[in-house]
Amino acid sequence: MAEAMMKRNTKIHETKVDRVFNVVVYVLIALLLLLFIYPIWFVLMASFSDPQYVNAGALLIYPRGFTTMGYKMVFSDDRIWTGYLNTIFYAGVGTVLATMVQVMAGYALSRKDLPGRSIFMLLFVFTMYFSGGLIPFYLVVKELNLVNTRFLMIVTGLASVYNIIIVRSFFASSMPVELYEAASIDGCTNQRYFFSIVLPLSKAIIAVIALYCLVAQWNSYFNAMIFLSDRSKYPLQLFLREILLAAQTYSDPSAVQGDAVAAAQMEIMGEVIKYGVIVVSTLPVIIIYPFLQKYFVQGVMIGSIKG
Amino acid sequence: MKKFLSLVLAAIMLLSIAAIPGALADEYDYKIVVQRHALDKEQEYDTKPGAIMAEQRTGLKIDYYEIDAGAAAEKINLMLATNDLPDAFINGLSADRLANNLPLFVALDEYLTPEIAPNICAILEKYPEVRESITQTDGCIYTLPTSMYVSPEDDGGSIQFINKAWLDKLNLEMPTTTDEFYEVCKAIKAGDPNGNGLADEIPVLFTQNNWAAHIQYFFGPWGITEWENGYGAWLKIENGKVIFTPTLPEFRAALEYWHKFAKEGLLDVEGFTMTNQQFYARLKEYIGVTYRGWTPASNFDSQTALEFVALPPLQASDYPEIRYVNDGYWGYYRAQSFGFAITAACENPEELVKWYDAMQADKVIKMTWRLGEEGTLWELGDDGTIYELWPDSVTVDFTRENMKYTYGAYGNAPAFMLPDEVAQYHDDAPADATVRRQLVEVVKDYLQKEIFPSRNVDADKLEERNFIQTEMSAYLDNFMADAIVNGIDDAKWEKHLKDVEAYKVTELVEWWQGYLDGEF
Repeated sequence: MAEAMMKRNTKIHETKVDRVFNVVVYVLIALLLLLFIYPIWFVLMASFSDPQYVNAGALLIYPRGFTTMGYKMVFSDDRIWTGYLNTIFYAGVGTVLATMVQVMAGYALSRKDLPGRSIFMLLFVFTMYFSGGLIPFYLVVKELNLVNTRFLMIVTGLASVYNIIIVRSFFASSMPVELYEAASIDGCTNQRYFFSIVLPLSKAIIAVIALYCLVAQWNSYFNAMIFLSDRSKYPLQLFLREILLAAQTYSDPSAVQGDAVAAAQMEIMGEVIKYGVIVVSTLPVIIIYPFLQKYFVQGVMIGSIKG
Repeated sequence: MKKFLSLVLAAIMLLSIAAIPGALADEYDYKIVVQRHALDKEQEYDTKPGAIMAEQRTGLKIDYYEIDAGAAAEKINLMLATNDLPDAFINGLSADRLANNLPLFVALDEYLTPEIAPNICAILEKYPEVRESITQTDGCIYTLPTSMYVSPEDDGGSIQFINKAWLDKLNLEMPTTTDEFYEVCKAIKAGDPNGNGLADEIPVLFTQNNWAAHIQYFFGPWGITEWENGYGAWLKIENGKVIFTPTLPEFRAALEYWHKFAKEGLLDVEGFTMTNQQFYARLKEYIGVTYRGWTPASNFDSQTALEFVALPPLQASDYPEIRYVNDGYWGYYRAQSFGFAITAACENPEELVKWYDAMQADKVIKMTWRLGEEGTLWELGDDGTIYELWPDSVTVDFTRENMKYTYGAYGNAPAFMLPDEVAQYHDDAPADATVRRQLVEVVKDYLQKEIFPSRNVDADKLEERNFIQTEMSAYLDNFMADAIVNGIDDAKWEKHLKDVEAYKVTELVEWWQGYLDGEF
């Protein structure tokens, strides 16, 4: 009986410490949440506020000088719609193809019976660390006659070695060799094994890679900026960059010279739509993310190499 | 597996759409790289009236390859580095790009004859300054000028405005000396002219991040100003002699004066770090009585802008013999020297020189290139004077500025406007447009009298100067900010004089003196 009482005392003692611990953890997490959420909240608020207040630093928790002018200006601009269509095309087709290429490459490299496996791996990793630079890249693209084509925008993102390594590690650690041996005893070919057994088991990694490719395609602007000259092929990010950059010339006297009035107009325009532009370009990805989150949380540790 | 394969096939089909080739280039005679302005609302360059008139007059079909201002640096550098050259560039080149890639361009001297290029030859004869600015260090001409020779609006530089309505409200006289200005500012701070019951007025507003609002421009009463065009920023020329201003006693006097302002809360010291947008917001808070800018209408709505007038030049009370100087130079040569360059990839440079020459033929084609069809944004008077027009059809989405860059190419057009072709305004032009010229009149006599010529220099020599100047500017900006915010005494001033020596001031002044004297 004395032992039972002692046990009860110990239990209450731990619960108090536990409670304190819980409170501390919740407070810390709440602070971190605030730290992460506030910038996004600020951007959302600022997109609905008069830029006068935004720049004076008068915004804190709610929008001031409520106005939807920024959004009106963004959506009335034809370029934004062209950009959206193009980006959806590049992101859609690009993600599907890139995921296929990277998952298949990762799987192949994870199989120990692939001839020349270590050489392939070495070459791939080498290119990940060292690249030729912009000018050789431009020359290669020019020789292939791919300058100013949509094809190029998709093809450049297909074989990301970083992602391939993630996929390879996943397959190496979660697809036991015994599984293949058992299947092949029953007469399963390599293709059948991949499509019917491995793929259904690897939904997590497919979702992760798809998300990575989607975000990369959605945000990409540099290759488009360098290689595309037809404005009808420009992705969204490039138009947004154009709109925002135009507004930043006012501190540079040589850019202002000859037309200070135009420079002033561009700057005011830029200020009004700056935050609206940020919201418009990130909203689709934010909307898609929750649907993939289920797989993503599982998959976050997939890339860590085990054994 | 079948589902997967069908997905693969569908994706590949979609991908093949992407590989549709673009328009063929064989139908064009020449490919010219042009700059696309952010305010241009039209997607195709060849719909511009200037381009249409150019084809009508010369018969040449030009493929205009547009580059946005934002991507221009990378794209043009790539073109030059990978030898993927168009036939010509209109604007987009700079001194370094040209100097480092001279073999990629064609020397035009042999084509500048009265038979091939009569208009250009006439210009070069009449205006030797033009020839000097477009000649490279090897003595040949590789580029032809575009844009404007002079611009009276720009010559005025940055102008100081003061809120006259506030002065009247507190019964203050317009100040004429720096001491009177100090008294006026103190009265403003105490008098609450914006009527909100709070003593929140900060009389003098500035920011280092707006081209017109630098604190250096406020040193005018002591004969010191910054040259808005960058080079020689801390130098002035007196009787052909180059003087470094930050070591002059007047400079110290100016620093002490403005330190007094900062200490008493009459100067907004956040200006040293404020961004341009914050500066605009600060102006609109209606707490400042004076600032420097282009026109009040560009910072305030039309009602409030009327309260501001240009401050007549002040006299320094401690140096009454020094004349006020305003940044700017009357009649400054503002042409874009690297406006038109023909590359080595062009098969027939003579044709392009002829084409460019045809663009300078008369005012009609030049203005059509710059501002679109006659009658919308401009017209010719009976005596040949060019008048700018303000159409009624402007909307918030399509302002006059948008029109300028959609119908025409303004500064990026292959047109070189001569000094006698400066546009005038009719009497019914809106006040916002004409006010700038009136403001410039106030400071016209106080603009700098002597400035450096614009001549091309060897890359090595430029390197030499840039190296010293970068370090020196950084040091001076810091020194000035510290002196104004924290004050300056003899010890600090002596240290400053020594530091300036360490930063190679003598070499800098020698370089500029050599440049002025034409030694290189």
